[in-house]
Amino acid sequence: MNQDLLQILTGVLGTLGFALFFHVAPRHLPLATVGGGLSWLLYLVCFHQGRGVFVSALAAALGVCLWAEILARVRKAPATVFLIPGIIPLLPGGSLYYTMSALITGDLAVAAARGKETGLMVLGIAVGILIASEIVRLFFWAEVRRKKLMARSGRGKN
Amino acid sequence: MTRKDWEALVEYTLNIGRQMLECGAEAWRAENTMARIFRAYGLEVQDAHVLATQAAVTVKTPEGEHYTSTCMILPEKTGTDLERLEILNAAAREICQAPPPVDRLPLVLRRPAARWSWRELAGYVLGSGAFAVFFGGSLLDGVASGTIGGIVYVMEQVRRVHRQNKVIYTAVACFLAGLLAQLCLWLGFGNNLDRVMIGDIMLFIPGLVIVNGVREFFYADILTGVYRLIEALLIAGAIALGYAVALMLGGRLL
Repeated sequence: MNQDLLQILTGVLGTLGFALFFHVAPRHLPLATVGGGLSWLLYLVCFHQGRGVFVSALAAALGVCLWAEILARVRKAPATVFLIPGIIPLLPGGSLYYTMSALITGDLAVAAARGKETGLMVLGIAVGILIASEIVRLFFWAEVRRKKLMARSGRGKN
Repeated sequence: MTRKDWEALVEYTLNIGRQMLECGAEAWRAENTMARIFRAYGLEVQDAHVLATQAAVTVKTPEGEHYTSTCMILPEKTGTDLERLEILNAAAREICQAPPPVDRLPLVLRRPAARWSWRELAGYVLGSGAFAVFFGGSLLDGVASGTIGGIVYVMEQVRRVHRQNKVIYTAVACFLAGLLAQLCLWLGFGNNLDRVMIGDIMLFIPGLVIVNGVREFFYADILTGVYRLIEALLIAGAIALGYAVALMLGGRLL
Protein backbone atom coordinates (compact mmCIF):
# COMPACT_ATOMS: atom_id res chain seq x y z
CA MET A 1 0.00 0.00 0.00
CA ASN A 2 2.83 2.36 0.93
CA GLN A 3 4.61 1.40 -2.26
CA ASP A 4 1.44 2.24 -4.23
CA LEU A 5 1.17 5.67 -2.63
CA LEU A 6 4.81 6.35 -3.40
CA GLN A 7 4.24 5.29 -7.00
CA ILE A 8 1.22 7.56 -7.42
CA LEU A 9 3.11 10.46 -5.85
CA THR A 10 6.20 10.01 -8.02
CA GLY A 11 3.96 9.33 -11.03
CA VAL A 12 2.33 12.73 -10.47
CA LEU A 13 5.75 14.39 -10.10
CA GLY A 14 7.00 12.71 -13.25
CA THR A 15 3.88 13.77 -15.12
CA LEU A 16 4.52 17.34 -14.00
CA GLY A 17 8.04 17.05 -15.42
CA PHE A 18 6.73 15.79 -18.75
CA ALA A 19 4.01 18.45 -18.84
CA LEU A 20 6.78 21.05 -18.43
CA PHE A 21 8.80 19.68 -21.27
CA PHE A 22 5.79 19.34 -23.55
CA HIS A 23 5.15 23.06 -22.84
CA VAL A 24 1.69 22.70 -21.35
CA ALA A 25 0.38 26.23 -20.70
CA PRO A 26 0.82 27.22 -17.03
CA ARG A 27 -2.93 27.63 -16.49
CA HIS A 28 -3.51 23.98 -17.47
CA LEU A 29 -0.54 22.56 -15.55
CA PRO A 30 -2.39 21.46 -12.35
CA LEU A 31 -5.17 19.61 -14.18
CA ALA A 32 -2.80 18.04 -16.73
CA THR A 33 -0.64 16.80 -13.84
CA VAL A 34 -3.59 15.31 -11.96
CA GLY A 35 -4.31 13.21 -15.08
CA GLY A 36 -1.05 11.29 -14.58
CA GLY A 37 -1.99 10.36 -11.02
CA LEU A 38 -5.48 9.38 -12.16
CA SER A 39 -4.20 7.04 -14.86
CA TRP A 40 -1.78 5.28 -12.50
CA LEU A 41 -4.46 5.02 -9.79
CA LEU A 42 -6.83 3.34 -12.27
CA TYR A 43 -4.04 1.03 -13.41
CA LEU A 44 -3.22 -0.03 -9.83
CA VAL A 45 -6.87 -0.57 -8.91
CA CYS A 46 -7.37 -2.88 -11.90
CA PHE A 47 -4.04 -4.60 -11.43
CA HIS A 48 -4.69 -5.40 -7.76
CA GLN A 49 -7.97 -6.99 -8.72
CA GLY A 50 -5.97 -9.58 -10.58
CA ARG A 51 -6.39 -8.20 -14.10
CA GLY A 52 -3.47 -8.44 -16.48
CA VAL A 53 -1.36 -5.57 -17.77
CA PHE A 54 -3.46 -5.34 -20.93
CA VAL A 55 -6.82 -4.79 -19.20
CA SER A 56 -5.26 -2.52 -16.58
CA ALA A 57 -3.54 -0.33 -19.18
CA LEU A 58 -6.74 -0.30 -21.22
CA ALA A 59 -8.85 0.85 -18.27
CA ALA A 60 -6.32 3.50 -17.28
CA ALA A 61 -5.99 4.87 -20.82
CA LEU A 62 -9.77 4.85 -21.23
CA GLY A 63 -10.23 6.77 -18.00
CA VAL A 64 -7.56 9.37 -18.67
CA CYS A 65 -8.73 9.86 -22.26
CA LEU A 66 -12.30 10.57 -21.11
CA TRP A 67 -10.89 12.89 -18.44
CA ALA A 68 -8.91 14.73 -21.12
CA GLU A 69 -11.89 15.06 -23.46
CA ILE A 70 -14.13 16.40 -20.69
CA LEU A 71 -11.46 18.89 -19.57
CA ALA A 72 -10.90 19.94 -23.18
CA ARG A 73 -14.53 21.04 -23.37
CA VAL A 74 -14.56 22.66 -19.95
CA ARG A 75 -11.22 24.49 -20.35
CA LYS A 76 -11.60 25.11 -24.11
CA ALA A 77 -8.25 23.62 -25.14
CA PRO A 78 -7.25 20.72 -27.39
CA ALA A 79 -7.69 17.34 -25.64
CA THR A 80 -4.03 16.60 -26.45
CA VAL A 81 -2.97 19.07 -23.74
CA PHE A 82 -4.43 16.83 -21.01
CA LEU A 83 -4.14 13.45 -22.72
CA ILE A 84 -0.41 13.32 -23.46
CA PRO A 85 0.87 14.06 -19.91
CA GLY A 86 -1.77 11.76 -18.43
CA ILE A 87 -0.67 8.77 -20.49
CA ILE A 88 3.02 9.11 -19.51
CA PRO A 89 3.03 6.90 -16.35
CA LEU A 90 1.53 4.04 -18.39
CA LEU A 91 4.43 3.98 -20.84
CA PRO A 92 6.34 0.71 -20.43
CA GLY A 93 9.82 2.13 -19.80
CA GLY A 94 10.59 -0.56 -17.22
CA SER A 95 9.54 -3.53 -19.34
CA LEU A 96 11.41 -2.17 -22.36
CA TYR A 97 14.59 -2.00 -20.29
CA TYR A 98 14.20 -5.49 -18.82
CA THR A 99 13.44 -6.94 -22.27
CA MET A 100 16.64 -5.42 -23.57
CA SER A 101 18.81 -6.50 -20.62
CA ALA A 102 17.43 -10.06 -20.80
CA LEU A 103 18.29 -10.15 -24.50
CA ILE A 104 21.87 -9.14 -23.71
CA THR A 105 22.33 -11.85 -21.09
CA GLY A 106 20.74 -14.34 -23.47
CA ASP A 107 17.82 -15.18 -21.16
CA LEU A 108 15.26 -15.67 -23.91
CA ALA A 109 12.40 -16.79 -21.64
CA VAL A 110 12.56 -13.57 -19.60
CA ALA A 111 13.03 -11.53 -22.76
CA ALA A 112 9.89 -13.04 -24.29
CA ALA A 113 7.84 -12.48 -21.13
CA ARG A 114 9.00 -8.89 -20.72
CA GLY A 115 8.65 -8.21 -24.46
CA LYS A 116 5.08 -9.48 -24.32
CA GLU A 117 4.41 -7.22 -21.35
CA THR A 118 5.77 -4.20 -23.25
CA GLY A 119 3.64 -4.96 -26.29
CA LEU A 120 0.49 -5.67 -24.30
CA MET A 121 0.86 -2.45 -22.36
CA VAL A 122 1.15 -0.34 -25.52
CA LEU A 123 -1.73 -2.26 -27.10
CA GLY A 124 -3.85 -1.67 -23.99
CA ILE A 125 -3.16 2.08 -24.17
CA ALA A 126 -4.09 2.08 -27.87
CA VAL A 127 -7.37 0.20 -27.39
CA GLY A 128 -8.27 2.34 -24.38
CA ILE A 129 -7.80 5.55 -26.36
CA LEU A 130 -9.80 4.15 -29.29
CA ILE A 131 -12.75 3.14 -27.08
CA ALA A 132 -12.74 6.50 -25.27
CA SER A 133 -12.60 8.41 -28.56
CA GLU A 134 -15.54 6.39 -29.88
CA ILE A 135 -17.58 7.06 -26.73
CA VAL A 136 -16.84 10.77 -27.02
CA ARG A 137 -17.77 10.78 -30.69
CA LEU A 138 -21.10 9.04 -30.12
CA PHE A 139 -21.92 11.38 -27.25
CA PHE A 140 -20.79 14.43 -29.18
CA TRP A 141 -22.84 13.51 -32.25
CA ALA A 142 -25.92 12.97 -30.14
CA GLU A 143 -25.35 16.42 -28.64
CA VAL A 144 -24.91 18.05 -32.06
CA ARG A 145 -28.06 16.37 -33.38
CA ARG A 146 -30.03 17.49 -30.32
CA LYS A 147 -28.90 21.09 -30.80
CA LYS A 148 -29.80 20.97 -34.49
CA LEU A 149 -33.25 19.63 -33.71
CA MET A 150 -33.77 22.32 -31.10
CA ALA A 151 -32.65 25.01 -33.53
CA ARG A 152 -35.05 23.69 -36.17
CA SER A 153 -38.03 23.51 -33.82
CA GLY A 154 -37.19 27.00 -32.59
CA ARG A 155 -37.28 28.27 -36.16
CA GLY A 156 -40.63 26.56 -36.69
CA LYS A 157 -42.23 28.66 -34.00
CA ASN A 158 -41.37 31.99 -35.65
CA MET B 1 -9.24 40.91 -52.80
CA THR B 2 -6.38 40.91 -55.24
CA ARG B 3 -4.44 37.93 -56.44
CA LYS B 4 -1.59 38.81 -54.10
CA ASP B 5 -3.95 38.83 -51.11
CA TRP B 6 -5.33 35.41 -51.90
CA GLU B 7 -1.85 34.01 -52.28
CA ALA B 8 -0.75 35.51 -48.99
CA LEU B 9 -3.82 34.07 -47.27
CA VAL B 10 -3.20 30.59 -48.67
CA GLU B 11 0.43 30.69 -47.62
CA TYR B 12 -0.46 31.94 -44.13
CA THR B 13 -3.10 29.29 -43.58
CA LEU B 14 -0.90 26.49 -44.85
CA ASN B 15 1.74 27.64 -42.41
CA ILE B 16 -0.74 27.45 -39.52
CA GLY B 17 -1.57 23.87 -40.49
CA ARG B 18 2.09 22.92 -40.72
CA GLN B 19 2.96 24.44 -37.37
CA MET B 20 0.01 22.83 -35.63
CA LEU B 21 1.23 19.44 -36.75
CA GLU B 22 4.78 20.23 -35.71
CA CYS B 23 3.60 21.28 -32.24
CA GLY B 24 1.83 17.96 -31.63
CA ALA B 25 -1.63 18.19 -33.23
CA GLU B 26 -3.31 15.37 -35.11
CA ALA B 27 -3.73 15.64 -38.89
CA TRP B 28 -7.51 16.12 -38.78
CA ARG B 29 -7.15 19.10 -36.43
CA ALA B 30 -4.77 20.84 -38.83
CA GLU B 31 -7.02 20.02 -41.81
CA ASN B 32 -10.15 21.28 -40.04
CA THR B 33 -8.47 24.49 -38.94
CA MET B 34 -7.21 25.31 -42.43
CA ALA B 35 -10.61 24.59 -44.01
CA ARG B 36 -12.40 26.75 -41.43
CA ILE B 37 -10.12 29.73 -42.06
CA PHE B 38 -10.60 29.47 -45.83
CA ARG B 39 -14.39 29.25 -45.50
CA ALA B 40 -14.38 32.30 -43.22
CA TYR B 41 -12.91 34.25 -46.14
CA GLY B 42 -15.55 32.95 -48.55
CA LEU B 43 -13.26 30.52 -50.34
CA GLU B 44 -14.53 27.20 -51.56
CA VAL B 45 -12.24 24.54 -50.11
CA GLN B 46 -11.63 21.82 -52.63
CA ASP B 47 -8.90 20.11 -50.70
CA ALA B 48 -7.17 20.62 -47.37
CA HIS B 49 -4.98 17.67 -46.75
CA VAL B 50 -2.29 16.91 -44.22
CA LEU B 51 -0.10 13.83 -44.23
CA ALA B 52 2.68 13.10 -41.77
CA THR B 53 5.30 15.00 -43.77
CA GLN B 54 3.27 17.14 -46.15
CA ALA B 55 0.37 19.58 -46.20
CA ALA B 56 -1.55 20.56 -49.35
CA VAL B 57 -4.49 22.88 -50.00
CA THR B 58 -6.53 23.82 -53.06
CA VAL B 59 -9.14 26.57 -52.84
CA LYS B 60 -11.45 28.31 -55.30
CA THR B 61 -12.13 32.03 -55.00
CA PRO B 62 -15.61 33.51 -55.56
CA GLU B 63 -14.30 34.71 -58.97
CA GLY B 64 -13.57 31.11 -59.90
CA GLU B 65 -9.78 31.18 -59.67
CA HIS B 66 -7.93 28.27 -58.12
CA TYR B 67 -5.01 28.45 -55.76
CA THR B 68 -2.98 25.42 -54.80
CA SER B 69 -0.10 25.29 -52.40
CA THR B 70 1.85 22.56 -50.65
CA CYS B 71 4.54 22.50 -48.03
CA MET B 72 6.75 19.98 -46.39
CA ILE B 73 6.58 19.11 -42.71
CA LEU B 74 9.98 18.14 -41.42
CA PRO B 75 9.81 15.61 -38.63
CA GLU B 76 13.31 16.57 -37.45
CA LYS B 77 12.14 20.07 -36.68
CA THR B 78 9.18 18.83 -34.69
CA GLY B 79 9.43 19.83 -31.07
CA THR B 80 6.25 19.29 -29.10
CA ASP B 81 4.87 22.55 -27.77
CA LEU B 82 1.32 22.18 -26.50
CA GLU B 83 1.10 25.79 -25.36
CA ARG B 84 1.92 26.97 -28.87
CA LEU B 85 -0.65 24.56 -30.28
CA GLU B 86 -3.24 26.22 -28.06
CA ILE B 87 -2.17 29.69 -29.19
CA LEU B 88 -2.42 28.65 -32.85
CA ASN B 89 -5.84 27.12 -32.19
CA ALA B 90 -7.08 30.27 -30.47
CA ALA B 91 -5.71 32.51 -33.23
CA ALA B 92 -7.47 30.40 -35.87
CA ARG B 93 -10.74 30.61 -33.95
CA GLU B 94 -10.38 34.39 -33.71
CA ILE B 95 -9.71 34.68 -37.43
CA CYS B 96 -12.79 32.60 -38.20
CA GLN B 97 -15.06 34.73 -36.01
CA ALA B 98 -14.03 38.02 -37.60
CA PRO B 99 -11.74 37.60 -40.61
CA PRO B 100 -9.28 40.54 -40.56
CA PRO B 101 -7.83 42.01 -43.78
CA VAL B 102 -5.01 39.82 -45.06
CA ASP B 103 -2.28 42.29 -44.10
CA ARG B 104 -3.59 42.36 -40.50
CA LEU B 105 -3.53 38.64 -39.79
CA PRO B 106 -2.19 37.89 -36.30
CA LEU B 107 1.53 37.31 -36.23
CA VAL B 108 1.52 33.89 -34.60
CA LEU B 109 3.69 32.31 -37.23
CA ARG B 110 7.07 33.51 -36.11
CA ARG B 111 8.19 30.49 -34.21
CA PRO B 112 10.95 31.12 -31.71
CA ALA B 113 14.10 29.21 -32.56
CA ALA B 114 15.24 26.41 -30.32
CA ARG B 115 16.87 28.00 -27.33
CA TRP B 116 17.83 27.20 -23.79
CA SER B 117 14.80 26.97 -21.54
CA TRP B 118 15.03 26.46 -17.79
CA ARG B 119 11.47 25.24 -17.81
CA GLU B 120 12.30 22.39 -20.19
CA LEU B 121 15.42 21.56 -18.22
CA ALA B 122 13.34 21.37 -15.03
CA GLY B 123 10.93 19.08 -16.87
CA TYR B 124 13.71 16.72 -17.95
CA VAL B 125 15.28 16.56 -14.47
CA LEU B 126 11.96 16.15 -12.66
CA GLY B 127 10.57 13.62 -15.17
CA SER B 128 13.59 11.31 -15.19
CA GLY B 129 14.21 11.64 -11.45
CA ALA B 130 10.62 10.93 -10.44
CA PHE B 131 10.27 7.94 -12.74
CA ALA B 132 13.45 6.33 -11.41
CA VAL B 133 11.77 6.29 -7.97
CA PHE B 134 8.44 5.35 -9.55
CA PHE B 135 9.94 2.12 -10.88
CA GLY B 136 11.25 1.17 -7.46
CA GLY B 137 14.51 3.08 -7.11
CA SER B 138 15.84 4.79 -4.00
CA LEU B 139 15.99 8.54 -3.56
CA LEU B 140 19.68 8.49 -4.53
CA ASP B 141 18.74 6.68 -7.76
CA GLY B 142 16.25 9.45 -8.46
CA VAL B 143 18.89 12.15 -7.97
CA ALA B 144 21.35 10.31 -10.22
CA SER B 145 18.72 9.75 -12.89
CA GLY B 146 17.66 13.40 -12.69
CA THR B 147 21.25 14.55 -13.12
CA ILE B 148 21.63 12.41 -16.22
CA GLY B 149 18.24 13.73 -17.39
CA GLY B 150 19.70 17.25 -17.28
CA ILE B 151 22.61 16.12 -19.43
CA VAL B 152 20.12 14.50 -21.84
CA TYR B 153 18.50 17.91 -22.18
CA VAL B 154 21.84 19.37 -23.28
CA MET B 155 22.10 16.59 -25.89
CA GLU B 156 18.56 17.35 -27.04
CA GLN B 157 19.54 21.00 -27.54
CA VAL B 158 22.47 19.94 -29.69
CA ARG B 159 20.10 17.80 -31.78
CA ARG B 160 17.71 20.70 -32.30
CA VAL B 161 20.47 23.03 -33.43
CA HIS B 162 21.92 20.51 -35.87
CA ARG B 163 18.53 19.09 -36.90
CA GLN B 164 19.74 15.56 -36.61
CA ASN B 165 17.77 12.47 -37.55
CA LYS B 166 15.72 11.56 -34.51
CA VAL B 167 16.28 7.81 -34.65
CA ILE B 168 20.06 8.06 -34.90
CA TYR B 169 20.09 10.77 -32.25
CA THR B 170 18.09 8.53 -29.91
CA ALA B 171 20.50 5.63 -30.34
CA VAL B 172 23.56 7.82 -29.68
CA ALA B 173 21.98 9.71 -26.78
CA CYS B 174 20.82 6.47 -25.16
CA PHE B 175 24.30 5.04 -25.53
CA LEU B 176 25.82 8.08 -23.79
CA ALA B 177 23.11 8.11 -21.11
CA GLY B 178 23.75 4.41 -20.48
CA LEU B 179 27.48 5.00 -20.07
CA LEU B 180 26.83 7.93 -17.72
CA ALA B 181 24.48 5.83 -15.61
CA GLN B 182 27.13 3.15 -15.20
CA LEU B 183 29.74 5.77 -14.38
CA CYS B 184 27.44 7.21 -11.68
CA LEU B 185 26.98 3.76 -10.15
CA TRP B 186 30.71 3.08 -10.30
CA LEU B 187 31.32 6.33 -8.40
CA GLY B 188 28.77 5.24 -5.81
CA PHE B 189 26.20 7.82 -6.95
CA GLY B 190 23.12 5.58 -7.05
CA ASN B 191 22.06 2.14 -5.78
CA ASN B 192 20.32 0.32 -8.62
CA LEU B 193 21.66 0.55 -12.16
CA ASP B 194 18.39 -0.60 -13.74
CA ARG B 195 16.27 2.05 -11.98
CA VAL B 196 18.65 4.87 -12.87
CA MET B 197 18.57 3.78 -16.51
CA ILE B 198 14.78 3.33 -16.63
CA GLY B 199 14.25 6.88 -15.36
CA ASP B 200 16.16 8.20 -18.36
CA ILE B 201 14.56 5.75 -20.78
CA MET B 202 11.21 7.36 -19.98
CA LEU B 203 12.55 10.59 -21.49
CA PHE B 204 13.19 8.89 -24.81
CA ILE B 205 10.04 6.79 -25.08
CA PRO B 206 7.93 8.38 -27.83
CA GLY B 207 4.72 8.71 -25.80
CA LEU B 208 3.30 11.53 -27.88
CA VAL B 209 4.02 9.70 -31.12
CA ILE B 210 2.22 6.56 -29.88
CA VAL B 211 -0.83 8.44 -28.58
CA ASN B 212 -1.16 10.61 -31.68
CA GLY B 213 -0.57 7.61 -33.96
CA VAL B 214 -3.47 5.76 -32.38
CA ARG B 215 -5.68 8.81 -32.69
CA GLU B 216 -4.74 9.19 -36.36
CA PHE B 217 -6.03 5.66 -36.93
CA PHE B 218 -9.24 6.59 -35.15
CA TYR B 219 -9.81 9.54 -37.49
CA ALA B 220 -9.07 7.28 -40.49
CA ASP B 221 -5.75 8.96 -41.36
CA ILE B 222 -4.24 5.52 -41.83
CA LEU B 223 -1.14 6.68 -43.66
CA THR B 224 -0.20 9.22 -41.00
CA GLY B 225 -1.00 6.70 -38.28
CA VAL B 226 1.24 4.06 -39.84
CA TYR B 227 4.01 6.62 -40.24
CA ARG B 228 3.78 7.54 -36.55
CA LEU B 229 3.71 3.95 -35.33
CA ILE B 230 6.73 3.01 -37.46
CA GLU B 231 8.50 6.07 -36.09
CA ALA B 232 7.64 4.92 -32.55
CA LEU B 233 8.91 1.39 -33.25
CA LEU B 234 12.18 2.69 -34.73
CA ILE B 235 12.74 4.95 -31.74
CA ALA B 236 11.99 2.10 -29.31
CA GLY B 237 14.51 -0.04 -31.19
CA ALA B 238 17.06 2.78 -31.06
CA ILE B 239 16.59 3.09 -27.27
CA ALA B 240 17.18 -0.63 -26.78
CA LEU B 241 20.18 -0.60 -29.11
CA GLY B 242 21.82 2.41 -27.45
CA TYR B 243 21.45 1.06 -23.92
CA ALA B 244 22.43 -2.47 -24.96
CA VAL B 245 25.71 -1.31 -26.48
CA ALA B 246 26.39 0.89 -23.43
CA LEU B 247 25.76 -2.04 -21.08
CA MET B 248 28.00 -4.40 -23.03
CA LEU B 249 30.79 -1.83 -23.29
CA GLY B 250 30.38 -0.78 -19.64
CA GLY B 251 30.60 -4.38 -18.51
CA ARG B 252 34.08 -4.56 -20.00
CA LEU B 253 35.34 -1.16 -18.92
CA LEU B 254 34.09 -0.78 -15.37
